[in-house]
Amino acid sequence: MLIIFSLLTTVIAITVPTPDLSLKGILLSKTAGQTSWWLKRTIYAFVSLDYSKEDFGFIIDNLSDLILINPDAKGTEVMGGLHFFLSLIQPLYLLTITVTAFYLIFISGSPSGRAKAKSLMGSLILGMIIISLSPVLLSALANFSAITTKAIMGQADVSVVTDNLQNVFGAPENMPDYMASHTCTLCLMHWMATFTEIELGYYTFLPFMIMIWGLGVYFFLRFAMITLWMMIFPLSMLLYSFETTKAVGRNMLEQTIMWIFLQIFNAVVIIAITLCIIQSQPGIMTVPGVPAWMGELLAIGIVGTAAGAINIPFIGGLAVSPVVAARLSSPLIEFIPFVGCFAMLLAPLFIMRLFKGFLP
Amino acid sequence: MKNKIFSLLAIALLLTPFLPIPSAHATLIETAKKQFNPFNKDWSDIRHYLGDENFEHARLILYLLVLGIYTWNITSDILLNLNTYILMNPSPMEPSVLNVMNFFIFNLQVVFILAIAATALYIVFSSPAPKKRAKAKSMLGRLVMGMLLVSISPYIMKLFFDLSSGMTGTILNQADSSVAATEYTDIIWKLYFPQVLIIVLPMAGHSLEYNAHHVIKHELPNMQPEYFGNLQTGTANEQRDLVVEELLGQGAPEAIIADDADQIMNDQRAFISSNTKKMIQSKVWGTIEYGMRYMKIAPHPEQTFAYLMAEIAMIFALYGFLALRYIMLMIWVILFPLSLFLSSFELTRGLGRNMIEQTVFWTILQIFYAVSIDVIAVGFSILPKGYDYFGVGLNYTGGMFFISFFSLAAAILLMLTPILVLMLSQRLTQMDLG
Repeated sequence: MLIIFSLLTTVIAITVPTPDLSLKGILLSKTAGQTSWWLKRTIYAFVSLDYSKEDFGFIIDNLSDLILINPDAKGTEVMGGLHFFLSLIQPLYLLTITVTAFYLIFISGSPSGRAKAKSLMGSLILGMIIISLSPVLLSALANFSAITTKAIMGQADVSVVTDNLQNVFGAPENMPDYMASHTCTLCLMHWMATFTEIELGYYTFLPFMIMIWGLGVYFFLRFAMITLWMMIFPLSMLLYSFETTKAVGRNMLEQTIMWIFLQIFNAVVIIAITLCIIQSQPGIMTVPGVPAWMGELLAIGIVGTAAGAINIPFIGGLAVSPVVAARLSSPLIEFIPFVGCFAMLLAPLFIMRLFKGFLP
Repeated sequence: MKNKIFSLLAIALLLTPFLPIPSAHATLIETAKKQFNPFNKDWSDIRHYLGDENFEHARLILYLLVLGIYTWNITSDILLNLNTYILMNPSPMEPSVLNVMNFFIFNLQVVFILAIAATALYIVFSSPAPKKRAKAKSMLGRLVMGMLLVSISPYIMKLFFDLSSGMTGTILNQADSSVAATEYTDIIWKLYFPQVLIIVLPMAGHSLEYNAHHVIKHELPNMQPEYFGNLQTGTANEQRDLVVEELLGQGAPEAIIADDADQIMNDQRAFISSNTKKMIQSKVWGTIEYGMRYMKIAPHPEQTFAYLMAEIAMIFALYGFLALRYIMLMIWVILFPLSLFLSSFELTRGLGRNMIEQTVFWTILQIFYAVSIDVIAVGFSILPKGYDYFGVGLNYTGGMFFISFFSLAAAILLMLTPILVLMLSQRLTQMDLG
């Protein structure tokens, strides 16, 4: 509605030739400069919010599925890459086993050398068996992770988190539909910042990009990383089998296992955030809004001043000032759910960092 | 609708930092009546109020007002509830939390039973070397102990939290804990006040320009011609003073207008002509406009960004970290049975130990917050007189624009407590006490 009024004002301001002091003149006499000021900021706020929240609805509606998604280790995409590496690695294994067997049988080495060769033989044979069964093994790991994740997520109502995400980033339920997607906590800050100083509006645009796009990128990245590590799993096993390359192989195997089981950590974090929201008492760590009467006056003042600046006496503002008043009067930020949204993105990566070096 | 219009006018008038111009020919009340008279067909004054320069001013004043209200709410909350937030721990015995923990406990008990059974069968039915038997026996003991601990893990967590919050409460009672909150909130306000100053001071200067503009455009045409009589007969100084007084009101920066007024006064022929008023209007206004533009008096909100970012960083450093602690603690409470399980096996002992360390770190963080608060309180109580005068800003403004180094250090200590504890815990881990 604001954008329609702004466009209308621009058209009228351009087409009307000479302002006068009658009511009509006052209505139509606003200079193009002020109107473009208003229009530029309104368009920027609308476009930036719509652009950054483009796929937010998809992420919110499918959060559980996005967490549970795993590539199919027996599917054609993964199997193609896996077969390629298997075709390279298996002959290497055979060659190494043959050479080690030849050394053990025909060459009289030192007792320590023979002991090393024997243990190497064992790990090579075990490695060969594992990589031959790698599609089944990886599929079993992914399924186990998905089943555990589903069981954990079933312990609490995930919609508490999605509703909270809507309040912080999306469209709160108690706002009228035509303004809902622009009245969330961060949206309010973005609007206020944009109309204070547009450069400040560039900074308030960042949380949307980081959180919403970050979540989307995170889910895609996890899927892509699991696909990659599944494909090069035979190489990881080969490197883990040899003493010289054991460190590299260990890191690769750890990454494979951690990226697969990351969804369990995601589920734990979501459950923890749900429990925190349920357990925290109302008003705890909450920045309250302005008093209701002040919200009304401020809304009229904000919208009326802007409308007055372009000489439309409050008509356009009346439609939105109750919404602005309601939003200014409701709590600005509830810190626990607010921090929970960002923890959803960062906590799994933080926990992963702790689990480094768990393989022997 | 009419009431809302009047309310808006009241707000716009109250919020703009200048009042209707008092002049020799209209009192403040008369001018105000003229402004608020809805039947006054001359809407140009009101349009000036709401448009152009005053739109900028009204917008910025509204922004400062809203920012001030939110700052007030946040600082009030910190002053009242900081201790509550520090003492806040999740409750493991809450049914919803217990439900999730029981999910892990029941599944891990099954694994424990299988492991115990496998180890017992190994000890009973196979004949391993004495070393391996001893290892299996100690593992059996560890598994049994682990299973017991996992089964009572919610109670262990509750006990641990009660211990930690009890210690924290005791430490907080040792000194006046409101000192830290007061100093912290003072710093937040002292980051807010300069923002007001940076925006409002140039507005006052800009208002001066508006004063002159308003008088020249609207008051001067209404002045009686004989008012300019003195210009024809008085001395150059009297003429100059009269122009300055009439055009800009008392307290005007005469230096701006004086030189050009002198120049104008030298051309006395212009003042005798019938175009006197127009000449003054165009020459003097042009001079003022040129002068003001040259002085570049206008509010620049982008100059307040540093203070705004610092204010937001201070708020999030305290609130954000306390909220993060609550959430992380909840995660580790849920994973505590798994931590105990992983600690029971040789292969995963390092992993389990890491998880337990994190649980301990996030729990005892509240103790260190309490210690920081007490340190700040005691530090300020023993601070020698006069040391509080060292700082940044203007100390003779009642403290509104002055931040003492000790207050700043106290705020930074409170903000960085989690980092200090993290570094300490990492150092302890490297020492390998276990």
